[in-house]
Amino acid sequence: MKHKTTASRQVHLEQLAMHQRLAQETRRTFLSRHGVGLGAMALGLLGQSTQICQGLGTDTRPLAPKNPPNPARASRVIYIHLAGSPSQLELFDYKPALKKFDGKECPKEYLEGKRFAFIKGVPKMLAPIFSFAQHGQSGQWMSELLPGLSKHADDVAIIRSMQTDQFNHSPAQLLVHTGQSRLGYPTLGAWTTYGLGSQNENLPGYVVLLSGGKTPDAGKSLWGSGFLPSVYQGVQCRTSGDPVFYLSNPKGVDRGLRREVLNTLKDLNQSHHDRIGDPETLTRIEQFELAYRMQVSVPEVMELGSETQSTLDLYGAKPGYVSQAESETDPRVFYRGDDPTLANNCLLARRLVESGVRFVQLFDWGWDHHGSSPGESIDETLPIKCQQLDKAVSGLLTDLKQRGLLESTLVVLGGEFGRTPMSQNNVRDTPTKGFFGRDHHPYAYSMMLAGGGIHGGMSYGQSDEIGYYVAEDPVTPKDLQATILHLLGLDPYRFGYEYQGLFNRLIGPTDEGKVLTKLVG
Amino acid sequence: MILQKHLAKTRIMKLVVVAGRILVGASIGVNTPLLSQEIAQVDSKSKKIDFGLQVRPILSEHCFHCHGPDATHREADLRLDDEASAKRVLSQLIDRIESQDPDKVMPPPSARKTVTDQQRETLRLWIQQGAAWGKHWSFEPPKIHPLPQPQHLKVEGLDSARGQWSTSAIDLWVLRGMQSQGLIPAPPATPHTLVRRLWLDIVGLHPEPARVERFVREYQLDRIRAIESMVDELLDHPGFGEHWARLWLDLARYADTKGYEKDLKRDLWPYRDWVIQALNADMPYNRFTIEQIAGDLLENPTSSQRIATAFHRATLSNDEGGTDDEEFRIAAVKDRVDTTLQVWMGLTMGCAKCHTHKYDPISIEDYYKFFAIFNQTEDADRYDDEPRIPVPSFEQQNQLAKLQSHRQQIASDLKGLQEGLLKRVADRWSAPRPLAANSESKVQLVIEQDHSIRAIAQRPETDVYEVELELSPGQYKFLKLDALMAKANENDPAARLGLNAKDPNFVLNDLRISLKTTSSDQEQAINPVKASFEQNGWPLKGSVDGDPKTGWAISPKQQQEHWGLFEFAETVQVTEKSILRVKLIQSFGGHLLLHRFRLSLAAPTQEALVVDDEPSVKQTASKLQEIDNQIQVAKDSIPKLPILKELGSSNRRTTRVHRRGSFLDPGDEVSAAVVPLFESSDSLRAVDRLTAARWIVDANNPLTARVAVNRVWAQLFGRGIVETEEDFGATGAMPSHPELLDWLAIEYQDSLSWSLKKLIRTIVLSSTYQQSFVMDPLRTQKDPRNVWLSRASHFRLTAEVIRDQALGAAGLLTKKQGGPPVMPPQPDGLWRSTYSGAKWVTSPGDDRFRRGIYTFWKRTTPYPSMEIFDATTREVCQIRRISTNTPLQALVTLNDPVYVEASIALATDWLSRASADTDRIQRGFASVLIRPIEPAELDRLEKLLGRARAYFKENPQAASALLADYPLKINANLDRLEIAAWSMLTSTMLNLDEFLTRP
Repeated sequence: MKHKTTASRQVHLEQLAMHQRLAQETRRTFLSRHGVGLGAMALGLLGQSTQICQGLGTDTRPLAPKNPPNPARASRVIYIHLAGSPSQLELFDYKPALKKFDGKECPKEYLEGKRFAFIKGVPKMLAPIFSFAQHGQSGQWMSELLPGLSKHADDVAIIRSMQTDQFNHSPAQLLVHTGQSRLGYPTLGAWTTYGLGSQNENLPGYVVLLSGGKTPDAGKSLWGSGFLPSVYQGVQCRTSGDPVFYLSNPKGVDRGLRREVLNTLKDLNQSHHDRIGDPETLTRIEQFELAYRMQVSVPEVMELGSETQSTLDLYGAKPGYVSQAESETDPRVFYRGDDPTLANNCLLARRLVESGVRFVQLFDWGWDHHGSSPGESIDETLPIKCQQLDKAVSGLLTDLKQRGLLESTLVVLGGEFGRTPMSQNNVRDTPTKGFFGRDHHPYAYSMMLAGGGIHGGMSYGQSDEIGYYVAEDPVTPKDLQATILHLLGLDPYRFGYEYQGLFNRLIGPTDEGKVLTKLVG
Repeated sequence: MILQKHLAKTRIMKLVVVAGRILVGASIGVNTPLLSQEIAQVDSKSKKIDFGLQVRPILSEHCFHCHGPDATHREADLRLDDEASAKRVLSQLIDRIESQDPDKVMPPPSARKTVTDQQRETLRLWIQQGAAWGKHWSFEPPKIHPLPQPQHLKVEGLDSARGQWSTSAIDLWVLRGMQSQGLIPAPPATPHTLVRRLWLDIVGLHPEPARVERFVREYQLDRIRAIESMVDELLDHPGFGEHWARLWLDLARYADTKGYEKDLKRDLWPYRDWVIQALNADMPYNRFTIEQIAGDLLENPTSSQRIATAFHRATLSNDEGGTDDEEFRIAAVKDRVDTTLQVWMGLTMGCAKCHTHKYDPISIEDYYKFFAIFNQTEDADRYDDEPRIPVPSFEQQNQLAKLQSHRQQIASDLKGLQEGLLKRVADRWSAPRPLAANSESKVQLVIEQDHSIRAIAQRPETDVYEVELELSPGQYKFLKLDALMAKANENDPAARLGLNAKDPNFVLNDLRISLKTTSSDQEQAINPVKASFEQNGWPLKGSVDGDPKTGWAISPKQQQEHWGLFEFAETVQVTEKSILRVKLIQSFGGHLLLHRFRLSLAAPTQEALVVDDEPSVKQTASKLQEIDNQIQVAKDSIPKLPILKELGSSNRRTTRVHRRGSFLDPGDEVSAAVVPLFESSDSLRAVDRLTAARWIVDANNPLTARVAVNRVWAQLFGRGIVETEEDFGATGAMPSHPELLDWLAIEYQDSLSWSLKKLIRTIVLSSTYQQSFVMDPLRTQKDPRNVWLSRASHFRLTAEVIRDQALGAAGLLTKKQGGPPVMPPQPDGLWRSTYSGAKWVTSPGDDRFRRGIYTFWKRTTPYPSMEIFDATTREVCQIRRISTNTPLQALVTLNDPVYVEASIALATDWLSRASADTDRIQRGFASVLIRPIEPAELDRLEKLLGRARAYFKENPQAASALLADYPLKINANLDRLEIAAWSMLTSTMLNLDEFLTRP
């Protein structure tokens, strides 16, 4: 079984390589045939060297792979966003001091001039609910909720000094992915595919997978292309139905008949081009051919059935599983520790990056634990979500490592902000079982990174004694974005796009985003 | 509509132009906007360097970042954007630019910018010529430039009579541009190409085949007249507004939801219909502008003018739990400021929110002064989106009026019935004369003639009344307490229910009853039956539960009389004369005491004891209830449109500068003012939104008309004269044809009186517009992107037009205009918004085939097939859609059920048209692509037909599967295998590059 899988993948990779050669060949021949090659190519090069591309009108091959201008440590990214934002105080940021303040009123100086989403009046401090221990050579502190990830303590770096300026989900999520809390800007994944193209012409360069039953709060803008051409926006691949919109032929039309139609289309388009000479027609021909190839390559990469049982077990994945949660109005009642949706997506992420997809974005919904009901509490829901997460992500790290992909694949994990060291008090003053919760907290939280040039085992930055503020080495989402671009070989200060009279960059108009040099090993 | 025919005939001269040798070739579009050097080249031979067009862009590109308007980041205290200070250092300018010394050279090496030779030459020449100063070109008013004279236009090789080039201003300026590049015009497009282009450009629809035939016939007879009448007909077509509204709705960030996390539905569509109607009526652009920005501030605004202001209510609003409404209110106001300046004046204000603009003369104070104008509306990111106005359709108004008149009829019937039955029901009661009436307060209770008891008003705040009634032998089951109105004294202006004059309510806390006979005195338990009305929280049962804190009260219905009906727990059997003692305990306080009341008794009975229980009354009352429900439903279905409403003078907001763009960091207070970009009349100084709107369309505003004509030009040529339609400032692209842009701007404001239809007419009647598409080595080399317009521009149609065209060609498109948005089929499970139960429910019937502009637009999940064709999410104002060419688009037109359905409908259409295959293909092809088929194309399609037929013959179940999902009216005589086979041909047609491209 395993042998067969490898062989078929080999054939597939060869086919891909051939397609790519062919595509390049066509491009070159095409350029020389029409005698405009040099000028156009020179301009293309100019565009790359200054990392500015006007990108207006249509590129013939906007997703062709491009070499980054600087040496790259990572050539692809898997970004796992835990939408809703888990409590750093129960996962990564151990605050024993918080225990002695448990149940005491939060000191006034922490509350003055602060805006919270739900906390009203004077809340009480809440001690960490789960225990922590040190792991690995590095002695990385990790929660008992993450036994699998604890074994990767020396592979991962944890930033415990993240801070943001947004405390509502939607704007905070936008800030994480676009560098702006407003709508309308390109996301990290869009910038990455714009800067680097894709390594597999038969797959989208930027793929998005959702789990947890709901779309993240800020919706599709979290994988949008903003003012970049829409070709750079993330393609949401779905795990039930067509993985990509309209991928299947209409009922009754088989692949042979589709080929007949496409051959006709190609001939008619070609003769139209021969008469009129619009180069865009040739691009259109190529896009139809690519669509035809995608009809095979996308379902193939999205099919988990070809994975070995041991790989499936590593992640806790179950091929073909459709979560019941996706069909109910409130999915929270369906939370189960062995729900494999996130695991399936992590395994898909590996298959996608292995096939050359540049940026895989995962969103897992259901991490917003306010404690207003047992279905969204830290004491009852978080352990269930952590079971799903821990197995899936530790499986992903193990698998990437075994396949030699971790070195060149950057894995990022985290939410859009942190959670308060205080208990949320708008439901009940003193929490009881099933009602432990924390409110949104922008002033200090944690993120985890691995692979792709990250210094494994590193603890970056610190929060204060009770985890309220950052005490050392503050990191903003912009710093993280700058660091990710840097790892990909793109200069965050020079990489941008001219739009509306501004040279727009992911890190924004000011240079406040810094590359975290200590973090990149 | 009367269109000025001012253009065509008088100015057309027979200026014959060579077609040039048309070669088959291709080129790659290189994506750079026009650089200032190219402009410099154009004018290199002319005498005078233009500061605004040629010099300022160089200074802006290289110097303003550090030596520009932004004082906080200014280096060496030197400004090069200001004439006086720049001229002091002019002598050093070239030296510093040319210096080899890294410490001296400008821009410094760290800026990573180099001044090109061409630019240096321009600067040198400019200084030589005396260094004339001016503003950035677009801040100077448009000028009337003398037209290039035809005799000076030397066109090479005037040897072919294949086309005529008119001497309209457009064509003279374009021809001059071409000549400066050594280019020549392309021959005119064929009538087939031209008619398809006109339909797609003017109404965004697939041309009607019969109209095409007529056009081609007329074209042969009188070309100019044929074109003019086609154009006029299309400008009058109702589809015009629907097509051009799409562009405006992108600018207005129109959507059917509110955005952000919850992305709830919002009824904005009456505004969409307003735009369509305004465009169809050719509302002048100045009025169109004023009504949208400040229609509510016009004198006695009409409801249409108030609807127009929804333009600025299309901003996002955040209903996420725990958000700071003020934060998102401010975000919306900033969006209004940015959108206003961007849409009308092509200015990007993003930077000035946080700091003074580095390139354009707009300071952070200017920004917040302009912000202050928009900071005075009532809306405040509220969940209910108020303020709103109901916008009933004509039908809804009629329906409501009908229901209300029906209601009136039933209500009067009911009243008649009730009055007629009053006495009969009253006879079932007896109201014995009270023997005594006393109160705890000892203040008198007066027994009136009608056996009611009136309380003298001057009594304590609480009291207990006690009444004794004499019962004659019999059975008693029911007790009624009537609360009646009375005048406290003769001077009292009106009778009232309770004793408290300000709140004539009463609270009956407890009602106690005992029966006294000669032998016993026994407490009688009673239960509440019903009351005329029960105040919320104060039901009748509160008066019998023994709890002194509860009771029966009737607010807010203090203005009528009331009754409470009780029944004895056990029927009271009276065999001898007995006395019923009734105690009314009223301990609430505040004089909420009964004023006048009466006690009545009734025997056990099945008959109604109150009029409302009479069967006939009940029946009529339920009819009334039903119609009230209908009225409510009708009222609820009337959309409520969010609109702009100015705050009253007592609660105006003060505006402060937001330091670094953050509203949590307020700076100095600023007063409202327009951006000081040009001299405007004093009347526009004291500003509210209305004066700001008038300032935008003021004759002195150098930008508004230019930006507007450029946008229209871009729709018709695929690119604006200024390519960066969104940015006319210092960092935007330079105009390729500055004189033409000025001519169009002046023409639009003056001769055309801001008429969009006349502007479009002027442009499409030009020879420039009517050229054919030619790609030959000359054009490929000299002008691959067709900046100089020496041929037609090909560009992919927009998402909406692609859909409308396919449905139109298939004969499926519905002509219905306006109304709520519709939901054509989309893939399942797409809407999974957090915390919102909204569902996509596919619209029934013909609503599936409405024009794309009517498709429900959900910001977080736009309709996928449109989004794939580059429609935007409409979250913020989008001036240009950047066109892409992707495999996902191919999948849409191949497999999206909308297109599959269209291909099947088209196949049945072809099959019903003719009987021979060849004939069918020829006719069908011509009806889709609007041109005759070439022999090779016919061969190829016949080949496909053969294969498709063979396939479906072998797999008849495949044909059934293909057709199964589409409820088309398939003619019973048509063979299903044939339909399936032909649908492969028609699908091919709908996927052709030629079909997807504007010719």
